[in-house]
Amino acid sequence: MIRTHGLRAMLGDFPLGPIDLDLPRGALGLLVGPSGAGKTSALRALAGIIPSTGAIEIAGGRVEALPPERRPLGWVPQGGGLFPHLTAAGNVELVRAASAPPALELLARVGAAPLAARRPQALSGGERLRVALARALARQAPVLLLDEPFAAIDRSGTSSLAALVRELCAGGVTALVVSHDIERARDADWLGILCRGRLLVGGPPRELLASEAGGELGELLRG
Amino acid sequence: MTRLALFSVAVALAAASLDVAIGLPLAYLLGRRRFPGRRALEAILCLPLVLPPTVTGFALLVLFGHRGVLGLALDRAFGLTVPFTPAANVLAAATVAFPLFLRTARAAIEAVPAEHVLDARALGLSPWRAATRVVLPLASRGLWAGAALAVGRALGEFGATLMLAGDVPGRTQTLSLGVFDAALRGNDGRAAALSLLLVAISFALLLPASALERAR
Repeated sequence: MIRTHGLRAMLGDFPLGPIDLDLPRGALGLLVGPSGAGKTSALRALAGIIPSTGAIEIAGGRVEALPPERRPLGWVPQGGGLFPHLTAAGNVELVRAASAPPALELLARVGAAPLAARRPQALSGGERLRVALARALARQAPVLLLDEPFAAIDRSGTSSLAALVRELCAGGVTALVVSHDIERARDADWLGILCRGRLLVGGPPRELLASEAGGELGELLRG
Repeated sequence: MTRLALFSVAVALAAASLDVAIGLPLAYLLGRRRFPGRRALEAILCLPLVLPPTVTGFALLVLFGHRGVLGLALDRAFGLTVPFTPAANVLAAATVAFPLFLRTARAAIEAVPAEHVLDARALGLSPWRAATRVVLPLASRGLWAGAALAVGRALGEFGATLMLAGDVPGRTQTLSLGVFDAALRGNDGRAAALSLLLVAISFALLLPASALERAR
């Protein structure tokens, strides 16, 4: 579960927030908005790697005062963000919690076991994302934050990755995905639209997209 | 001649090790933190690069000499005397070579993309683990190149060494001091042989260093 109340951060030339979010356990949230809207910063604020104010609750515990390493979340940065000096397995091993399954098993869970010995430079965009997802799972966190996971991969890679995230949610993980593409809204339980740092609307995607405001915003984002 | 070469290489390696031990945390600080006076601190630390080595050597003599603040402290605490001992060779060479390691290491650490550090933290690594497991390995080529440059510079050290360690054959004489000594005595053959030896050792050191730097 992820819940925020009055989450604010400072972006370059405009403030981010306040963002109020309430994703129950197992929910898939999607935060969309044009580039520069503050989507990545919102994730970074949740992860604690940029300063923010407001309340953040993850899996029932308040975390806003905790350093990043003590916030129980899995992190999938844009493009996967794999460390180039380590193999796929090395990337997973680096962040693996003592209680987590071995790196190979985590890679197998996302269909990336054959990539274990490969370096990030030798992986395709989709493969990098899979390894990054395995790495995020290595902390055994109840929450996953994914920054533009579908940006650098083709259509078939996108749908299999989306299915994988869905499957994790079915297992009880709460995921928040950031994307500039509103197409992904049909996969989500919750849709938030961010524009110039402000959360314009947030709610179940069917309701939002059906309403006239949602339609206009959808046009705006597609355009 | 072999003894002279071995002593010079040992001094250079010890000096470079001292540079790495002191320089690595400073390079990290300068490369990854933004604080007022950062540029000034780096400029001060890199002064030995532009000062005449004799001036650096004189400053070391004032600090570590029999009446210097640090010289007195070392003498009282450990009964150690620095000037005109092999320790002076190491200290002089380490001081002069220090900026070469610091600048190369700082640049390499600074070149590690900030995203990697943020990702490491968001993935649950403590600041210490993010530094030792992500930043330093990613900067390792530059760090090795800096260390090799420091060894090379320490090997060729002359001015500051002459001021602080003197030129005591069998005690503080290095290859570079030996060349000076031989030339002064008109023994051109020995000066040439020692020079060639110095060139060979330096070349063997700098070749991998430049290869590392190109591969960055």
